[in-house]
Amino acid sequence: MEYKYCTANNWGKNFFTHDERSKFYLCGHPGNVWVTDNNISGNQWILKVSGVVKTKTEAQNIVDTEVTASQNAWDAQSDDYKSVNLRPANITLP
Amino acid sequence: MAEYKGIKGFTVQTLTSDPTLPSTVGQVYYSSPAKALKYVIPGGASNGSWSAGGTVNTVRGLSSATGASSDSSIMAGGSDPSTPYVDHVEQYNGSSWTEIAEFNTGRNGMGSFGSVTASLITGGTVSLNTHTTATEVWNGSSWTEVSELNTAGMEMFLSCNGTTTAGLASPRGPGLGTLVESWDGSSWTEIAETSSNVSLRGSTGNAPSSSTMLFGGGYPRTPNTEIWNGSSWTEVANMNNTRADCGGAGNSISNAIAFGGRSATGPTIFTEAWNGSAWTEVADQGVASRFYFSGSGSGPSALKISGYTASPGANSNATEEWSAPDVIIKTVEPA
Repeated sequence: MEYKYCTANNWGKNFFTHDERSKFYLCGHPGNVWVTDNNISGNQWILKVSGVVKTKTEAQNIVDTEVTASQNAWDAQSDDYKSVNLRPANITLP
Repeated sequence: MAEYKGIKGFTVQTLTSDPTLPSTVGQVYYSSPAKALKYVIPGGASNGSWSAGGTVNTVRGLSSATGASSDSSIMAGGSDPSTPYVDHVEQYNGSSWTEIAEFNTGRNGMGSFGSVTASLITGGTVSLNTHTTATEVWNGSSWTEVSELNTAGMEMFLSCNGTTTAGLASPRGPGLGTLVESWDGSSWTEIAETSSNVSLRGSTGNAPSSSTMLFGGGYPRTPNTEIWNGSSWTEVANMNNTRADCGGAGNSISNAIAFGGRSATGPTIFTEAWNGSAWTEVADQGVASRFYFSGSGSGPSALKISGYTASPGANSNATEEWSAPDVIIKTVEPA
């Protein structure tokens, strides 16, 4: 499966619709990174949401930056917080 | 070229509204409002999907929500970085959230059940390591304090269901993992504990209290599922994915969904549908990395609301709407 990567701000209602979900793979990640199928429907959705297309490496770097910041913030939390909240895990984009 | 009339023996009907009944599956018709040729395919959970809904006004985790469908819900309480014990309430109309009357005791992780015009909140955390028994009822315009729970509990935001006249709440916290209390419209009574020796936190939020399901764990995580028949709990088939704090929605013990939650490696986006005897994986949610969200709705129509993200204190304002109607309408695309 070939994917396409972009950044886009989720504005809420109808940012992605039921019909769109039935036509292509879509998953949002930290840093407003979205992964879609690289097909006509996925590309139409990227146009709809004014997505900024990224390479996989660029998208992964954005996610890594967000996750690293989250991990650093978690590391600075109290032991009480850490006892009930998992340290954010690294995310590998498909 | 063969014509539709020649193949099927009748002409294509012109309809002014889309069919909704399962008996219409396979029908091809001309939709006069849409000016398009459409057809009907089977719906149900296996063809259900999540879409983006309106964003909440106050982002928060550990809030609690009630309501029967994806276009009718209220969300109350929770925790955000500036206010760890929120007393705000927002109402959803299917496209946007609006702030409505605040309740009396700000808190997070409380239980809730009911509708947008008649609901109840109970328990939850009111300050560091302090949990409450306070119960409040919403009549569509204001909140009133009523009889208190017997045992104060925390993180009950996904494990309660019923109506303001008959409901079940599962107070959670150290040593309370299997405790359940029953609400009869005026007071709380402890009833039989669940049989799993773990805290079950997901529930069929819109089901009658006499036919409730509890599923998924707190910590430790579990795939366990139990059904309440009005007098006892019975363990049934496990979910496919072991997790904690999964959302739940359902209107009976034969039609429910479990969604999201936290696996051992982090937040999940899995959705599973329950058909009365087994769980089946269906469509994933669209926004990853959310946990401590709230949920409401039924098996065919539900909401996943706000929640924490992987970054401590950085909550999500996203709402996702689940839709799994009996039939799905498709439009014939031009060749």
